[in-house]
Amino acid sequence: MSLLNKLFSGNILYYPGCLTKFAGKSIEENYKKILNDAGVDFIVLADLEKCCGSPVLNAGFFDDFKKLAEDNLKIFKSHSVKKIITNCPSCYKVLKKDYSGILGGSWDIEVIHFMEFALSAAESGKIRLPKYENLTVTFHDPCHLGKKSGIYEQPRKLLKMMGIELKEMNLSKTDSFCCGGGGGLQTNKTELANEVAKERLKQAEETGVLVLTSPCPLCTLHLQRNSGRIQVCEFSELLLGKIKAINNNDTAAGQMQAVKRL
Amino acid sequence: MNKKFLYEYLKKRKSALPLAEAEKLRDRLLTFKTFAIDNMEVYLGQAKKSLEKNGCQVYLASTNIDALNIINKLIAGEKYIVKSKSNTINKVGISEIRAEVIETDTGDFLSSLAGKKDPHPVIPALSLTEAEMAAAIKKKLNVDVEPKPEKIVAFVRSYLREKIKNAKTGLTGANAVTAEGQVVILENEGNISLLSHLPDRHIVVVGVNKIVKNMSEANDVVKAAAVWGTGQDWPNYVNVISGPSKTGDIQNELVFGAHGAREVHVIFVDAGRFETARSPFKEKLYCINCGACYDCCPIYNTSGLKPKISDFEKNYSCSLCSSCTINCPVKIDWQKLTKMARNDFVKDGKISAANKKMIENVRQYGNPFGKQEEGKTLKELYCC
Repeated sequence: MSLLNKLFSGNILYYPGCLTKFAGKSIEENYKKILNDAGVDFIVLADLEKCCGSPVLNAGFFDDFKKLAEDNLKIFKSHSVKKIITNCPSCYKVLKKDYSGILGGSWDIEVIHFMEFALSAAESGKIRLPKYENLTVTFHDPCHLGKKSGIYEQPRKLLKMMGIELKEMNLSKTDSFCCGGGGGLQTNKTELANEVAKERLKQAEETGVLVLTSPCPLCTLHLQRNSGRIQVCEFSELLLGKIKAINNNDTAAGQMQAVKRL
Repeated sequence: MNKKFLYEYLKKRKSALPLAEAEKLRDRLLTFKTFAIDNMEVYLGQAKKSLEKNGCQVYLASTNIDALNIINKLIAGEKYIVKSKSNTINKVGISEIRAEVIETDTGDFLSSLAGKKDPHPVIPALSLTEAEMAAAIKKKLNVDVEPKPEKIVAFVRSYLREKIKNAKTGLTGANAVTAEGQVVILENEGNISLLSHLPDRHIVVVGVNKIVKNMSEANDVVKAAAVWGTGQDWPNYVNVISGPSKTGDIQNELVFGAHGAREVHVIFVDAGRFETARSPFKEKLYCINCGACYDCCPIYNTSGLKPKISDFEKNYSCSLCSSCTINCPVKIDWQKLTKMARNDFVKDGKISAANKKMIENVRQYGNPFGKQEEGKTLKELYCC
């Protein structure tokens, strides 16, 4: 993009969110690679940007939340940000819904989730998705992406386009069962949060599939920490072809699959 | 966790009312409940007048204790009374009623025998096995009952019929009261029909927030309570009571107490509801007590713990997943209310250790994790 164009149209910001930045470095690298592969001219702000305020809002610190929103707006504006792409469902929901709620008309930055971007990039041929054979997974809807934002179909379409078979859990989409990680539960009531995660993983096991994927850094990390048999992979790993199915004939069911990270 | 129960409930609910119809019903409920709560005082005046015209005695209890005093005065000298399921009466305080209170809802009856506290709001005995029920019957009533659903139900039926027949007072809640003067109570078991008709006196205890305009609105409440409560398209029985039973068959002279109750007392309970109606938390009052929020709650399902907005510990025992809101027939935004209550806790200086650390990091470093060493694994996931 030429400089002149940039001046008029503004910058595209990739906003990984704090959890991805601090606890999911590889997830951040994955998403940046996909953006680069798609030829997106984007910027990152690293420590210049602040927390979106999701944990702050959820813990009840409304004044701090307003300040964060105002600070981030200033920072984004000073970098001519016109559009934000984030892989974090919580940041997505907060930037898209809560910022316009608290900042009103002065918040005019377009916010899209990486699942929306990836689907349209794949459909228009900007990115080439890997093709999987014999891989079956189950999908966990992150609460912030599904129930709070209504994004259910994009990741499912992407799975289909990659040739991955999806075995839905009994509780999915609007009926989806929380992983227990959000809303401050993981830090405030750790045991309870772990109990909920273990229950969700049991529901995943009911599908007979041993791989669970989710496009949320929190769900992924929280479920991984509580996982026994189920292998939890972040959605970007699938998008980059980093997962390989290995037929494991030793398992009792025979059909059960394991995966390895490449 | 009783997964089968949740899976079946959701399936039944969806087949009881298709999604498009369900959404229309939710919109209607939200509209008229909002109006009703905004005009609670007017509706209360109208309901009182209408019910009194039909021969009911109507009371407004400012507090739960006032409600208790009214009940205790009415039932003075009675050894026991029979009661149906009611969250409002539970809040008023059953243990303070000066007579033995016999629960007649099968689940409540069995829960009370087993000494269970804080049971499921719609299916009270959900966590009891057949064997535990039979053991409780043996222990409390010294009767041997085979631990099979039909045997237990048959025992409860015959035991409670005798009790209801001889009771002087039947105590019930109500799902709705109309400003035009009808008390509407839905049920599947038939115990409410019996205890509102057979004893001489029927006492209804109902929150002032349950008043709706007319039977058309009450009809929507009944439908929603059935669909979201148990996944049925309509309950077995809907009792509509507008006054004590009466006859004019003898020389055209009006006599009360024909076949049904001779007296009907309706106690409206305020207990802070008017104050709530004027507060930012007024949405709470739209609730029709169907229990769908808990049915679908990940916390309740895994631990049995019920998140509660006004209680510090139970409030923060919620992951804000939105399941309750998405499953609420009145579209109450429980996440918004939970966060507003958290904001009030913060303002009062009530902050958990984890949240204190999180907010200090955000204020100092602009992120919830603080200064992090490269490559160090985070233990606490403060987001999101």
